[in-house]
Amino acid sequence: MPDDSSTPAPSAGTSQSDVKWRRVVDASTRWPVIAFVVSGTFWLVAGSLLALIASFKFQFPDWWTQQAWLTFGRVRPAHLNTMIYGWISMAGVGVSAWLWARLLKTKLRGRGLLLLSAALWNVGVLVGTIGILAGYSRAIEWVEMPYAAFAFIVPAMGLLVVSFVRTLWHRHARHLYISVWYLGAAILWGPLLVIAILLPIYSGVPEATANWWYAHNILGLWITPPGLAAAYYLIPKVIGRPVHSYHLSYLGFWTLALFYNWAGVHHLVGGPAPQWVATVSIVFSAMMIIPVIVVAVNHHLTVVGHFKKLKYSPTLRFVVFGAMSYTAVSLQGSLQSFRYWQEVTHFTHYTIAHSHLGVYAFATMIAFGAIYYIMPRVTNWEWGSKRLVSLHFWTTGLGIGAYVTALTIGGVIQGLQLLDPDVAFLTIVEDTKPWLVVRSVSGTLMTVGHLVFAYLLAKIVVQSGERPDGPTYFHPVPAGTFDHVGGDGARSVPSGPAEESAQ
Amino acid sequence: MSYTPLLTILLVLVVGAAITLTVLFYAQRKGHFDNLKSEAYVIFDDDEPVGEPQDQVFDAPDEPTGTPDPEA
Repeated sequence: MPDDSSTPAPSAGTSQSDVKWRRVVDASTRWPVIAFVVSGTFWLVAGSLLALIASFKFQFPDWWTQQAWLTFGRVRPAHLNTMIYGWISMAGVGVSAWLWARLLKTKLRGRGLLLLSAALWNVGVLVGTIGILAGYSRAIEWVEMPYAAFAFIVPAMGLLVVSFVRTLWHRHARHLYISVWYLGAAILWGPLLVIAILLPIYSGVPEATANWWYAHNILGLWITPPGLAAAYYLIPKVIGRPVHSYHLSYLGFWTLALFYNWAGVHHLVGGPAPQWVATVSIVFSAMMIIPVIVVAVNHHLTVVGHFKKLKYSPTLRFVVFGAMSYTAVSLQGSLQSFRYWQEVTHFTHYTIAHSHLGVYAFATMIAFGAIYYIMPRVTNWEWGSKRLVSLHFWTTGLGIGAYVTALTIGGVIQGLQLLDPDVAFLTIVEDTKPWLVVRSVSGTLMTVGHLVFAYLLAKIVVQSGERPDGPTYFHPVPAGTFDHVGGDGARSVPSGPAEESAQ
Repeated sequence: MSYTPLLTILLVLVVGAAITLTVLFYAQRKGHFDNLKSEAYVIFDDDEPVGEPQDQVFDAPDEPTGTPDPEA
């Protein structure tokens, strides 16, 4: 491993080099992180508007039907793809790039490549979204964007690999923290998955099988790992204590790595795929309970005794919300892979609730929490308004809570009615309407939260207003809540170099 | 009937599993999993120690100022 003398090496003693290495590393990540996070937030807002259009059509089915590009069949997949490839992927890359530089304790390498990647990625998602709205959607769920979009996104993903490997090569860290494993795995699996599904070799039932092998894996092996990586780093860091069981964290990672890949066809239970393929996927879906419980135990026992800190810390609040949602959605996923469960829930709104519990309540909320931690460190500024941060949290938290609850209940009712031949189909449609109203209302709440977040992000990136003189907490922190933090939320001067330790 | 799609996915799975297992055993041979208990502390150091929450912003100038505390 080359000796990197351009980054001051972290050492065990308190010294100027100890202080400076973190500062240098964070500064090196500035423009790539800003590029990916800002881009992702743009797609979050765009995808939210598309989602609202799609959702309101359940209340106003004749709305905007004269324009083909605004019909449900195009707007809904456009929403899905902008959220998957635009928002959560790009935000995840921004968070990941900062994390792997921090954890490898060296400057981020390939910064120019990452900026190029961000540009290509944006072009790809734009081409893809326009392509779907123009009617060139492909018939593969979660990959509806036309091939032209992936002509940009696949190279963009490849550039990430170069940056990660180069940073890994120049690392100062003696030990690869657990988060680095999750990030490295996502960097490896993500491009492999996308390339595999884009091969023009699928048709018929094999296409459906490949579709759901891909869609399930892109969630669990591309979107999930950065979320877990962020949680494993931020929960201990914000609280100030290490992960409860570091051994367990490795068990959780390796069981995820070995089990998740086989579970995708549980989306096709009852379909024309061979029964043995579905059964294998159900078995591995059940085995996924192991890594999920491991992660849940680890995160919970790390936070236990410190839950009152959620009152003050935006990062901790969003990340813990997301971590708990990960447990919920993953256990739910294991259970709903069983045939007896799917008899009721498949092809209903329940599935939509589940997917939003995963991509939003888990991945998106952790992404928000991570961004609240990272952006002050790369912009050398602070979030402009604790009230707006709080508004962001409550609109998104209550929004997704109402969304998931309504569609879960409505989906189960829908499923039970679909199984009853004495219930007319139109009756079922009428009975889902109230739940779909809640969907639209909660979606609107979440969109308000996204607009607030976008505003806050713009302000911190341009360093708007007066330079804040302390962290943006939800409430002033009472003395003693944080051992080394003063009563007004500002950091007390610790017993080290006065200004140097003010990080 | 064409088995190309199934063989393609199986190939990807086998290659992925092989890489994953190779990395796992390589890491084990290099001693990565030895002494895991202490490795949980690698994200902490004297500057950001255990017991001190790290939820604060950088509010110092880029270059450290002030003299080191002799008591530190």
